[in-house]
Amino acid sequence: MKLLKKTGCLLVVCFIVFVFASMAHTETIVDKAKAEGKLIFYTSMDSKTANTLAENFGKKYGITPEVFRSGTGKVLAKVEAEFAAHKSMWDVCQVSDMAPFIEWARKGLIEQYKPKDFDKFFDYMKDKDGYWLAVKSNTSVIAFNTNKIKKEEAPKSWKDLLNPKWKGMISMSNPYYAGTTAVNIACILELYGWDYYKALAKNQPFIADSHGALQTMMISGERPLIAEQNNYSVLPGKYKGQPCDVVYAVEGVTLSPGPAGILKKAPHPNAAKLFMDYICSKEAQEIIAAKYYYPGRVDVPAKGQPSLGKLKFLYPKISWLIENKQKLIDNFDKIMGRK
Amino acid sequence: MPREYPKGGLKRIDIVKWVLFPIALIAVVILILFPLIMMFQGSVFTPEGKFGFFYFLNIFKQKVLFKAFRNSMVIGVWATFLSLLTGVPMAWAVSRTDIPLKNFIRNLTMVSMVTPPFLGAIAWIFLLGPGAGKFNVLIREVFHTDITLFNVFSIEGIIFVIAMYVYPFVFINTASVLDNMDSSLEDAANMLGASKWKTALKITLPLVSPAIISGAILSFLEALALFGVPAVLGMSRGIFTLTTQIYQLFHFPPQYQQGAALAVPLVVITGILLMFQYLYLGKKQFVLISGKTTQPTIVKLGKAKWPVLGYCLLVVSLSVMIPYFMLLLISLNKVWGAPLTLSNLTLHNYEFILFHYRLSQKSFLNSFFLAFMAATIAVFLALIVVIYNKRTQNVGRSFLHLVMVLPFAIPGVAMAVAFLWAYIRPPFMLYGTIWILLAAYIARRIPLAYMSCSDGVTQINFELEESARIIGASWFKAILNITVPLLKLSLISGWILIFISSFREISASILLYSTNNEVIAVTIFTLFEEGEFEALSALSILVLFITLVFVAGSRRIVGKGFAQVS
Repeated sequence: MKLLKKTGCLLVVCFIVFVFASMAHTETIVDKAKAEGKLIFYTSMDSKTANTLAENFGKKYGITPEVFRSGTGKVLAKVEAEFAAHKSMWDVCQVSDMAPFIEWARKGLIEQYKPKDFDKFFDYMKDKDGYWLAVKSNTSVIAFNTNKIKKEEAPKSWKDLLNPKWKGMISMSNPYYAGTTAVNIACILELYGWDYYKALAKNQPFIADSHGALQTMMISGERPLIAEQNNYSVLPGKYKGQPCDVVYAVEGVTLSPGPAGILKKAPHPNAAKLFMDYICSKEAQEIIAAKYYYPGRVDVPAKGQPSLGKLKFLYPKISWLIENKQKLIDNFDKIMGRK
Repeated sequence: MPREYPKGGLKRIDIVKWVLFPIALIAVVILILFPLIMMFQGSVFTPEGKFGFFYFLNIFKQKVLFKAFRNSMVIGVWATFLSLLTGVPMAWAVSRTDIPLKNFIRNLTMVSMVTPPFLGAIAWIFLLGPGAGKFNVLIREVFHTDITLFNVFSIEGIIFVIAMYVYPFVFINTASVLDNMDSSLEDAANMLGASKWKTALKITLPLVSPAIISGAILSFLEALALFGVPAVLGMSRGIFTLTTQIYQLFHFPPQYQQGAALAVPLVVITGILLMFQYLYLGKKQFVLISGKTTQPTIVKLGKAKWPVLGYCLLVVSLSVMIPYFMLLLISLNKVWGAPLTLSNLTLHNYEFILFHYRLSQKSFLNSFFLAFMAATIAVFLALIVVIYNKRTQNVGRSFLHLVMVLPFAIPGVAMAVAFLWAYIRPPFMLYGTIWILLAAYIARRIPLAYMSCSDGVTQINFELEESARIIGASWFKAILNITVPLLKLSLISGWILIFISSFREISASILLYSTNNEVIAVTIFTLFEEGEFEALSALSILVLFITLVFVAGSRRIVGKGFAQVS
């Protein structure tokens, strides 16, 4: 009995020491982060989600990240320009394209860091060495204005979009700006080749820079059919009662994980780690899910859309995309008369 | 007339001579000359340092670049043609005929001139978008058809919208000559029995043609230099111009050299045309205006005045009233495209822009700061250079004059390319800070302050300073206490012109801004990219409101002639 008590006491003491020790650990990271006092976050998430995350982080730790928000292409351009000038200003970066992160990891431009809840993330959503991890992912779907197009007449597959009856009605984003569009094109190329886009060009798609713009133009009726829309851009409208709906193409839906990572020798390294911990936390992942992204965590369910397991997916060949992204953009621009 | 000062005075102007002059001169060189030289250099050297003209040759070799060049020319020529078609008859109508509402038309043309054209372009999407544009919808509803009559996302759409915002150059140039021109020749023609229309065509028109051509040149150059309109209306359908193509070239991976090479034709064309205007037309124009204060004869149009008035009203409606109304409507609407019912009306967009959108708050502060600083510094530098040029006999005066007016010949996007190229590396690493924007704004707009000061100083009698000197004031004091106060109006009007144009600057900002240094036009462009059209309209209405308040205020202070220079 005494022994049991002793062991019990010891265990409790151990536990308390452990708790304090781990608290002390987080305390120091929080303190160091606070001492840095600043955090610069480049992201391609929509501004509202990015701002919500930034504000909540600010309330929690007293550091409100400065957010630079643009399409994946513009964020990448900025990051690369800063790399070239040896004048990187960001701490944490997140885009909808894995390719650059794989490149940066290879070149040693980003920091290895496994956030606290690293193990809670889907395996294909993270780099096993901890260079990056996808904090959310998007699916590309077909979206349409239900006032202008009847549900049963709406295209069912990527191929249906080539029907001449959609001439002048289609819009899509461009692979330079939108990481998800590049991934989507890569997948469709594997199915149908460039002939698909040559045929699509005949339908004179309106090529906007962001998926938000596509949504506005679809709801207004200006361009009632979106050839590839992000799930998180169309679903909020649908559930708010706007006249729009979604088609999951029969060939499969493309999935674009959105990785985040920390700059090597970031200006505010501790704040960066703290922020990575935060966006991987259950709280932040639930915010992300509530904005109709697919969360990266296993234990946070998707909202308002079929769970990832229930969808048929097209996966891009990442190694192909890394090598050929610029070619893909150039070719697309050429076919669409943009180059 | 500049004169030599007695030797004794020299010591007293030491502060000017050794501090202010050098600072101003160095600033001017660093701000204007250095980036331009760097840009030209960038366009003829590869990153490896190999010299050659391949980047220029690419303009003709690469289909996409050549297409951009051709589109720019087509847009420039047609927009100028439309400007002539609208600006000339309107100027004649308000200056020489008895149509009613003349002041109204003049004022709205002014408003059109200070309206950021890319806001007009966005408004016209709401009106002439092929799917949901109000005009198109209306036509379909009224005639029960499926046809789409107008498509603003086209080269024609771009031409139309640009014309609506560059015609004021033709109008103002023409009207100011018509207002001041001696009409004795016209009277003679009338007495000899020529009809009103014949007199207008055969006498008045040839007399004002230099002013018209000079207005047309300005319209053409503005049409060529605009970035916002082709960006908003053209890029999504694959229609690129020189300016939007340069923007495209700076996308990742950026092609600095090719961008610089593409900016060079813009600078050269602009330079040649301005030179032509200055050397040839400038002289011819002044011969015509006799300076006599005779009232120009007013042509009585009779019944014909109603169609003439209608035409004028149509133009100002298309350029100002309808687009403004549309932006206002969308800014009060919950969702673009929703029916216009009371339940769909909201002030939420304004609330969002003013209180909940950090980017817009930040960019308001940035734009105010930049416009204020740019205007102040530019006026200060211009004043010093003007004094140097007009009140001393030091060397390099005509060279300085040239440098000061040079930015007139540099479109905003080209200026941005030059600045990017010059200030992204040592010794001046300004890229990524707000100072590169400030430097670019000053450099772009300094000619406005310079011209305005220069005109002012020329009109001030030199004897005033002389007499102050005789009673013992130093040269510096004489200038500070005599010349500067007399120049007050010129300085203020220069300041305000720079403030207004910097406040909504887009062409240079779009390439030079960075995180936390966003300006209003960049925010509007971002909202456009993201499809937040309702919030965008609210922000646009605020910008237009602030601009108009400034213009109205300055007309109070400076007088009606304000902002009639371009």
